[in-house]
Amino acid sequence: MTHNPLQIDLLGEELWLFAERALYWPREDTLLIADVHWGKDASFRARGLMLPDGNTLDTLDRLDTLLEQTGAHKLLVLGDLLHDRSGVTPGLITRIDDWRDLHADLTIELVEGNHDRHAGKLPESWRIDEVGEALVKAPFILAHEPTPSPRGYVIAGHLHPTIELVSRHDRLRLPGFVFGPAVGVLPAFNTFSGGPPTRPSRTHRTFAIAEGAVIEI
Amino acid sequence: MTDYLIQQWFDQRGWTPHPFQLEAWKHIDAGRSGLINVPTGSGKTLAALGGVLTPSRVTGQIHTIYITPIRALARDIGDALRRPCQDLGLDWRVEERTGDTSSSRKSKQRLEPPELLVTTPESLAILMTYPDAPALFSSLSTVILDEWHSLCASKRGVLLQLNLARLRSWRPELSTWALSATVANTTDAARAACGVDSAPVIIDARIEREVELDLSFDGPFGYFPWSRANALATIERIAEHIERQRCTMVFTNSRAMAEQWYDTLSERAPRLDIGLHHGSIERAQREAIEHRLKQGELDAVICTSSLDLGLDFDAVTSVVQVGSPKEISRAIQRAGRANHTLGMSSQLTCVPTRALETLEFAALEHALESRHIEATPSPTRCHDVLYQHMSSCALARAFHPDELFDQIRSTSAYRGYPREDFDWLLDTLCTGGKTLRAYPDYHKLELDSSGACVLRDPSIAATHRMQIGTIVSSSSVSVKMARSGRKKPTSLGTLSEDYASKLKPGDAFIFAGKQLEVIELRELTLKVKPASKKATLAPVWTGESHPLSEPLCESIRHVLAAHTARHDAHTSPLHRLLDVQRALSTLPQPDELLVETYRDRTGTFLLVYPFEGHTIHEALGALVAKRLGDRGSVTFSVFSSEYGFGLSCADDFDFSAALDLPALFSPRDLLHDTIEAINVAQMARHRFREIASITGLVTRGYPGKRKSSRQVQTSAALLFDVFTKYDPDNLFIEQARREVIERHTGTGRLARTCARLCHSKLVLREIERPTPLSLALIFGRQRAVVSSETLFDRIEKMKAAWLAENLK
Repeated sequence: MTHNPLQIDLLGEELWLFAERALYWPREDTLLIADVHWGKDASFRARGLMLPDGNTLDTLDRLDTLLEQTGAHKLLVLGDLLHDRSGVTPGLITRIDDWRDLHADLTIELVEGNHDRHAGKLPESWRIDEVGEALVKAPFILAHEPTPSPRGYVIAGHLHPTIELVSRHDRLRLPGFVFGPAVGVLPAFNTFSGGPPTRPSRTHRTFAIAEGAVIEI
Repeated sequence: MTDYLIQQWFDQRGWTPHPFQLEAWKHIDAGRSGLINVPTGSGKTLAALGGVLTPSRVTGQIHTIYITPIRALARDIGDALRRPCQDLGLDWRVEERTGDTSSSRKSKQRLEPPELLVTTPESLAILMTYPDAPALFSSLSTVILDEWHSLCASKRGVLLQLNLARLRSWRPELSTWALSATVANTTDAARAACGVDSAPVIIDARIEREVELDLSFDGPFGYFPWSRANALATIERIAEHIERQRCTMVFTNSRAMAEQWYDTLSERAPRLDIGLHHGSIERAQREAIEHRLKQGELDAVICTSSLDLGLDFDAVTSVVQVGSPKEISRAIQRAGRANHTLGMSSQLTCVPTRALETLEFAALEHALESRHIEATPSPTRCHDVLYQHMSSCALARAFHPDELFDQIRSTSAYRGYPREDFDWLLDTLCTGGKTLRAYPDYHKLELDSSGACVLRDPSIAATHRMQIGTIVSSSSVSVKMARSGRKKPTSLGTLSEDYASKLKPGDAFIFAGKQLEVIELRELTLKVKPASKKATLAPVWTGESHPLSEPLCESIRHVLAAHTARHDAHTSPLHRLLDVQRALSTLPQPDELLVETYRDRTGTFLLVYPFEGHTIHEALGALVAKRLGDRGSVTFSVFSSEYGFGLSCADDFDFSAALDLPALFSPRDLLHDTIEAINVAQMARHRFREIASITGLVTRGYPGKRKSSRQVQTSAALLFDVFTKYDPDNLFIEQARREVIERHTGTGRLARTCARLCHSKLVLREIERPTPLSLALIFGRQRAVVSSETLFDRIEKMKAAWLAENLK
């Protein structure tokens, strides 16, 4: 079961932030996720660490929940859909094929991330459109790397942000969303990842994910 | 007397054997097993050798194995054994076999075995995986374990115990002799060496030397630790001390400190010829320093525990201990490195680095009088070591599970080991167990039709041999001096990955006694050049710092109480400090527990002083926070020092009303509450790296294809998560948790402490300003959080604190 998303306003656009580490943009009927790293488990196996699957399955489960709850017809992945070439095993391809069949009407687009560049071509059966390094959808630039752009507000991934809260008597680290003056960053969709800690600041709006809910800090 | 061949050799030199040597020769010659309790440098090698030097021993076969924990020493030990053999005209070969021995030499040793083999626990383990091992050892009659006290409390010792049991299964009459410095539990140490069913002979050399402390270094100190002015004054005095001595060993407690002292000392006293020695310096350079020490060429060496053990340096006339040694046995061991002459007392010059350390030295002196030293229990139920051993056994020849089970139960490390656990390990090796069933790479063994365990794929043998051992190193970035002119790039040693990754090109730091500047970090190599600017920062190596030992803590409490009872005009810095403590708060008696409460604008503090070492305090702090939190939702920050622990809280929490000692330290549900309070899961996840490496579930890479420790850590952490999720009863997870808990509860120490505190008299003081004892707690940085609040509440509070901080 999932909590209700947190609705925020960014440049006049309504956005929904989900504790499942995703963002929904109702006006475009698009679900945005970043840093999925499919096949990260298999890739570790290829490097000599025999891990059972589970990691990729977990991302698919959460996607199902989100698609059902939002009814989104479009899924936009902000880069790093795949972890690396060695992770793209026949098992992964079939698994994603099966999942794709369940969501046959869904349009899936991928903004290329640094990991994708080294992961080879996407299997055609997945029917994922690669849209280059960024997709312009005013007022936003949807990209992988969080580099500010003169053309609009950038929504990106790549950083896997964790929000660090520190007081003299307490300390917490939580995954979350960070919206700065020119760039907003989504949490990594894959949970097997951690990134540099971000502390709240005057110039950024930060949202932490805690106990299944999104909380503005 | 002249029955022993070695007596002739003693006669040739005009030496008289010590009674313990005669006793050792008699028992070894008679084929018994046992332990010789003798300090380093008292002729123990000859005590052991004399017993095996009999012409009746076979030739052309290995009859004696001499095991040393330090591979760099193998050569010197070999020399010490060769000399009498040659002089006495024995046609025996003494050869070394360690990680440094060339592979051609090693192969030759298997074809033409020497009579005496000098080796390490790991090299022996590898040798025993070859199918010809049983034949190779078919004439083995004696095994000598050198410096057994340093092995028996570690997993290295556990692995050795397993292999000794295996040797005994091949050679039931095998005689085992352990050479050990004083340990608290001699019989246990002897049993660990000789097997649980043995009746070991214990020979006490009774030449334990008195340790005298030189406590004249006692200041000047300020309130705060280690200021530059203090340091320089102390360094000048140490330089003078070194000049008066022929050769001085200066022990520090950390590599970083050794680097800093070396740097400052060589700058302030360029007239002195000093060396630097610690475990992260390139081996060639360390050996060069050891050689110069042996030759008596150096005025002093600044070192760490890297020189605790090993060869005797005859030239050393003085030992200096910088900072508290934390353990009585460590102080004795180090003091014994000087004046290796029988019957003379050894002196340890104590140099405190902050005022309160003089308290620890005073406690050390008190403890030395009572000769009550630390017990070092050896690890038990090491699933990881046994798992590795099972594959090793199968490499040599098929084994029957029942036989191996009986064999391992004859070791003290696995006596009483449950058959259930043994079968679980075997099943995991054969089928991958619950989680790894689908991955054949993990299935190393299989059962053949006769029920014996065999290797599934013989081609893994070479890989397995490379992973044998229990030493998992954490630092792995090698530091190389860049090529200059025609000189080749030289290796200086290793840094911890954590530290190296934080260095930027151009950063200057001191390392291996040199001032260096970073050029670049590529893969696992840090390229450096001589620094163009003055560097003062020393690298930090990650390692667990030793807590104050239990007997030393007891002694500290005694010394503190004694101070309260005295009112003389003596004004050492320690006295002044304790006087301040007494004026601002008080000094507790041994049956009292001092508790201070303190309030500043950020919140309230509770400061408790059990004097029990930092690991126990970490656990106690978390425990008390949890038990207080159970009464209502509250979040505490918990911190600890060697003397006590503290809790702080943003709210106006009334600590003094909640101080019910019997309830807070109640032994009821002690372990359960502690596990819940300290973040065992997180720590166990970190701890798991060593277990995953020893078992081979995560490989450490191969020569030429090394894995960074971060890679190993990541792989191990993932494996830990998967086991926790899909196979919570996994024995390796259980072991990781147990190791974390044991570290924090100190094998019963936590329970003993709680029992003491339960019955202590509470002495509560509300303090206006920080007391000397509280400083390390209030201003220390290492802290954990224990909370019974929801994440939401904690976030709200931190938001409020952040807003207050940023909008004022």
